[in-house]
Amino acid sequence: MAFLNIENLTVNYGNIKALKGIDIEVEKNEIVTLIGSNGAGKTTTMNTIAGLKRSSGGRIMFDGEDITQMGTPQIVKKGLTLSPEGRQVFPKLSVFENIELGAYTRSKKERDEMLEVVYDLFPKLKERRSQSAGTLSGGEQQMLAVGRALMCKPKLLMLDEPSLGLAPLIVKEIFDLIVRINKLGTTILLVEQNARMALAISQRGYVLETGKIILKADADYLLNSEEVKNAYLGGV
Amino acid sequence: MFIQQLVNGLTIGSTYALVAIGFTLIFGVLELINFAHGSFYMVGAYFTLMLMLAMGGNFVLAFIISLALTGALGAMMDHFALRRIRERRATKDAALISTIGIATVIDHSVLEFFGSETKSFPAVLNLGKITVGNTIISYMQILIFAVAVILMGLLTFILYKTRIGKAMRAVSQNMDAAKLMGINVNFVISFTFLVASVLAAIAGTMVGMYYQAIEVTMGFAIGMKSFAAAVLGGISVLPGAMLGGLIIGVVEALGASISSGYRDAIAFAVLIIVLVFKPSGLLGKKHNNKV
Amino acid sequence: MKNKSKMLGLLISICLMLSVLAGCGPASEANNGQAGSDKGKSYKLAFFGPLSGDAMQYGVAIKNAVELEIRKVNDAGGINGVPVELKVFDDKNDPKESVNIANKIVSDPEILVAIGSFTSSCSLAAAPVFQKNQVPLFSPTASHPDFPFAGDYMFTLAMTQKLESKKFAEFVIEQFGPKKVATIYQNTDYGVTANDIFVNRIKELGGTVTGSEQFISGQTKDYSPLISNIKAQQPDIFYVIGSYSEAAQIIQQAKALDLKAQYIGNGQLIREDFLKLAGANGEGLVVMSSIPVFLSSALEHQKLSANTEAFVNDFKKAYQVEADGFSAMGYDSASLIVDAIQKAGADKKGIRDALAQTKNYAGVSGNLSFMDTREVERSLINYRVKDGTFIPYVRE
Repeated sequence: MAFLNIENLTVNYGNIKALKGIDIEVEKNEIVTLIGSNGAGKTTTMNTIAGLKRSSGGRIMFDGEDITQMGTPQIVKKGLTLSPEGRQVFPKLSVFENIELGAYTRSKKERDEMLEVVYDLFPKLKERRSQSAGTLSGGEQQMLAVGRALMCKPKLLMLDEPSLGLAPLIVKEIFDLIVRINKLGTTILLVEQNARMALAISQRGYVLETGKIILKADADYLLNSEEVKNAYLGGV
Repeated sequence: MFIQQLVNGLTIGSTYALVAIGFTLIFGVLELINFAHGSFYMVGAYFTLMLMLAMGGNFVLAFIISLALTGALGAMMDHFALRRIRERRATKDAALISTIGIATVIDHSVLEFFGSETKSFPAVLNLGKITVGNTIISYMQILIFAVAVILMGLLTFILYKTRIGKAMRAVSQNMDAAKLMGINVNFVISFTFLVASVLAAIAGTMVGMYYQAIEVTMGFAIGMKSFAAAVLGGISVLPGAMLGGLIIGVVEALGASISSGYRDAIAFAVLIIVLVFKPSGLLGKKHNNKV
Repeated sequence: MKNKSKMLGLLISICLMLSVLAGCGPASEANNGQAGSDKGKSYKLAFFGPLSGDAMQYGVAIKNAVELEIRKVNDAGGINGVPVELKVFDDKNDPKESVNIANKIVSDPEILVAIGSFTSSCSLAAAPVFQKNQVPLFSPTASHPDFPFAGDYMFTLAMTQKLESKKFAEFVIEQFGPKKVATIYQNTDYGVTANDIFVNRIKELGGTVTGSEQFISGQTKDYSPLISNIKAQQPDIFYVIGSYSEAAQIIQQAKALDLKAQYIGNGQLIREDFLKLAGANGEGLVVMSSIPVFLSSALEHQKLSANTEAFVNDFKKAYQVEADGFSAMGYDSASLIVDAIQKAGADKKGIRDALAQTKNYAGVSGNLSFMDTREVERSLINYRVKDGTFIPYVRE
């Protein structure tokens, strides 16, 4: 069975069916991207896997365990975490305090260990560690969100729209960092509107449209497919 | 005479501060106005008195048990009443109304059980007083002030230097992100209510000891003023609760010495004037935004 | 959606059913009343007073006394063989509620007399309703001077403050001389009137009033700013006008602030609860009263008439607490009304006339005569607190 295995997942908001039975697989050490237009259900998918939203049907298996009914804190302890859409840093806490909270479930030793790793990956965060998170720029907050998520040594890290609202140069930096994190041994599930850059670093991809997976293929295939190009990659 | 009125005011103010501290904690962490806070204040005082009478005058033991009981009651209120509302992502109003309901239930239960008469609280600590010129200051007054300061310091320490305190602050800023940190948000919130209720019980017992009397309406009576004190100081800022309480107490005492009928009106007028110029309260931060 | 509207429908049906059932109550009572013209079946009286809320101790005590008398009458076969029925209402010490209850009472033509309420505010509020419908309203305790003048169907067993507070002032000047007096009083109808009349009479008789501080009942229990004001005036005498719990707080805080003066209070303070709350701070307090005291501690020093002693014992036996002055007045109210019904039958005007003519009735609360104004004239009975109990006042 795949490392992360989502089977026939349905999610409703009241009477609205946001996800109508989707299947996704992510193997260990892969980078997999989920693309789709606004309102397709990408964030719903991420939030449901992370336990922030309850599913209405289907199954989610992670590392051999059924996590469908688990609450978020438990899921995080199992090694699956999310860097959410819109960053969601703790604005009144300092950069350091934000990062420190990421290791809430870990021992002090593990925390100090991961702190080194995160500061190494994100030197800017180290620089600004006493600054209050609400005053950081968009790009810095994104790095903070990712760095914070790394602190619990996740086996699988999900990222929801990490490039949203960021300048192209910063976006490139972020994606380079994602590749580095993956090389350090973390499986990545990525959700992106900026399909081109995301697929460029991924092995495989899924296309989500109005709550259903309409296409599942290798990243190269998706990058070169006419259909996908026109719909999601903005033409040539 | 002015100094005596100042002392009177600081004492009254300290009692408001004691109540406002717990109130501010809940608002700070949950953005919830806990209408039941006054009821816990009253219940804490009643528990202490009744336990003390049942145990032949052992104040310390009665006090400790009362704190435990009241704290547990607060945590239970969150666990059984407020958690469901949170899980269904209902509006803040639903939680607020729920606290009003709980306040009513508690107040009326105590009324049924203990009756509406004022009950005398034995003088546990006969500390005496000192006279400085024309002014009399009792040691009990100093004690209340000191307790308010210590509790505020303790609470600040918990919030900023302990793991669960940091979790509380995280929850107050972004509940979902807090969950993603692996924080058991429901537990943290129940814990917050436990702490706030314990603070309320301490306040209730101290005030009962000072005035040597408790009655069912005491929570309601002090609730309004403490709420005003919390708002005046900056409603999610802890030192604000202390500052707001003292200011309202002093203004009230000086106002009463001028015109006792208008004593409350004068205190609230000051509150309104401050809010016109600084809507977030004296120590409140201008922005209360979340990312 | 479907589930929600089903729930709502069910809820509404239940509410409707309950309101129909509630409506059935009084309706069936009215049926009983009309079936077979039962003027001969019972004499109906009504009682209303604070049976819940902050004045409930007083209301309950008076109600118990009234019921005690009515039970006694019924046990002896009723009035001329006809039993007496008492309907009881709780006005929660809220004048608005008193008016509601008044309307309910007058809409039942069989209720001959109403006994109520406890406070002047509530009695004054209800008075116009009773006067308009010509149903006698008998308050055991309303002492506001305006009450008897709300109409000729109004009766009160309390000496109005006009008379009572005047007599208090006369007592103070007589016992202590024309000294400096300071007062602190509740801002209720009762408190304001009692203070004004007292203060004016003191000045008329040559005393000085250094200041009068007003407090709002229930607003706060910290009186220290007011007390500090008074302390600065250095009065010889400090008169506290408030409920027993307020007075206990005030006296305690005044002693804590070292206010040295002769402390005096009035009849509201004559109860065990006050002694308990005030503790050692009450020592030396002088209490002026126009109603008697039956605390067993005080009784040791008093001599009672036979029927008073019987009342005190019966009350204690029936309710396991000691009767107080207010319950005595409740008891007397009931007995006076019973007497009037005996003379006049089920005729409201007749009852009113019989009551108005009462002279030298030996009640358990003292010797009672109604003046032309349907106010009662009494003499003062004064006490001092010594060794934690009330003893008859003796000049020191």
